[in-house]
Amino acid sequence: MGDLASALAEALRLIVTADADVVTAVWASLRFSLASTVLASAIGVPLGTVLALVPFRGRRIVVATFDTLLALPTVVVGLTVYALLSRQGPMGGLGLLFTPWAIVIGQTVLITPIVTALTRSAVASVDPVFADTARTLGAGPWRTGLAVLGEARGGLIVACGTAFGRAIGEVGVSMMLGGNIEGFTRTMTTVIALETSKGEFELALALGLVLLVVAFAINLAVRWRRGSRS
Amino acid sequence: MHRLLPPLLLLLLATTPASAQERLKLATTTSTENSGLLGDLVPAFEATCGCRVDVIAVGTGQALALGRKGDVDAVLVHAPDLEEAFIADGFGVGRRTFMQNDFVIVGPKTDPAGVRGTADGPAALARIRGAGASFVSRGDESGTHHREKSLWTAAGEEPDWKGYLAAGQGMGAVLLMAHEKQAYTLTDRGTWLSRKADLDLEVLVEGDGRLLNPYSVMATNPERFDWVKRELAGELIDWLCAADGQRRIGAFRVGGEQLFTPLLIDGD
Repeated sequence: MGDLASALAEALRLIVTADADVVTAVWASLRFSLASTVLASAIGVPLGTVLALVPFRGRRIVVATFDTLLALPTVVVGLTVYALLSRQGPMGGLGLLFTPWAIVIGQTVLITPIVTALTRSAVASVDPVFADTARTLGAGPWRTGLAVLGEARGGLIVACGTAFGRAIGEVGVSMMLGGNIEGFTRTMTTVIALETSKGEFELALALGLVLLVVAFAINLAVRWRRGSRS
Repeated sequence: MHRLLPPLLLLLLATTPASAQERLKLATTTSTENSGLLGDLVPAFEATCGCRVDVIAVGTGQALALGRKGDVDAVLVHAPDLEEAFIADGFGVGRRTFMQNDFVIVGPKTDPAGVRGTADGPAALARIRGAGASFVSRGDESGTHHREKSLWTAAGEEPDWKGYLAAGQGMGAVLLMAHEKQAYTLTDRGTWLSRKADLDLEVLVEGDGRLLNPYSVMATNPERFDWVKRELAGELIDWLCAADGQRRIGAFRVGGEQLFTPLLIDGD
């Protein structure tokens, strides 16, 4: 209990004093996870919609594959993308390893299956009558898809929010691909892992609380926007 | 959300650091980073070279693996035989051994295995094993773990008894485990000094030549990897070995204690 209480006090102190190192790490975490969420949504939302609305042979296998990818351990994603970005790998010439871009690419690979699977499920749960009606009214496949997506927007926000949460909370990808370089690729989660490895459990716990506060603020902001619109 | 995205993306691009300065990638061990030594040395070097040093602090095993793939420009580690293999296999050049500290065996003040005052590292480990006492090992292929394994080899024993715990964690976390379980462990003196205030443990074995812990720095081989920044890596190596770097290493203190001894300068 003593540990938890002092971690809470430390977390408050870090937030109130806007500790420079913590601000840098929070900022890095936010930038990288927002970028990967945007990229993953750009891929996953159309993909999930197609999987929900367009019947094709082998669709079940594809859906099952994306559902399975939800279980990907972050370190495995890190290792796979490492092999691609390593200097001797297929994309090594770009020199992206141990830069913010490497983290964004790794996190995008990690969370695209989340966006895809949740989008598919949200779109599939829209009453089929809705799509039929749109078609009867003369909408082509594009307009129909967009109309169904609009109907499923609550589920889409959940999909993107869940993906963002996974990205900002993961440590394996950021550590392996970013290298935890101070002031460059050091994020909240890699600082937490670093402080833990140093045995500074209280500070690590305090940083974890700060991360939760940041995530909470973002969730509130998204909800507030949703609420203000409906 | 749609109206928010474009400005967000712009923000991202705007805040991604421009690569105006040349960046040197240095893979190193957690001990140099965690003790704060690199936090002291790197900014001073950056000021003289006008470059940025990206410090990637991992275990010695992983640091050398990054060097073997050509993903870093220089490596700073503490495992002499692994370093020699790294050079012999053609992955590294320009190796200089430039500082050292030492390992100590710490354990519970009650010292159930009775190793206090022994100067012989391997004999102390054999006695801990013989007494069936608890011992926490890093178990992570770090330089410290590597040294522990060679001490077991020197002792002619296998660390295979019930009280031997391979933690797979960093030095600070392993010291805390040893504290919680009142177990023995092998630690570098730097981490011990920076953590000992919180630990109900004490140094029981020290002073064996086999416990010396030399650190070396080397560049990855530009003949094998034509993209590595050999010149910049050379500047770092020269700086660490010259008077400025050596003096800073000797002057670096944690809690008033010197953690590393420069090897290429007399006194400080």
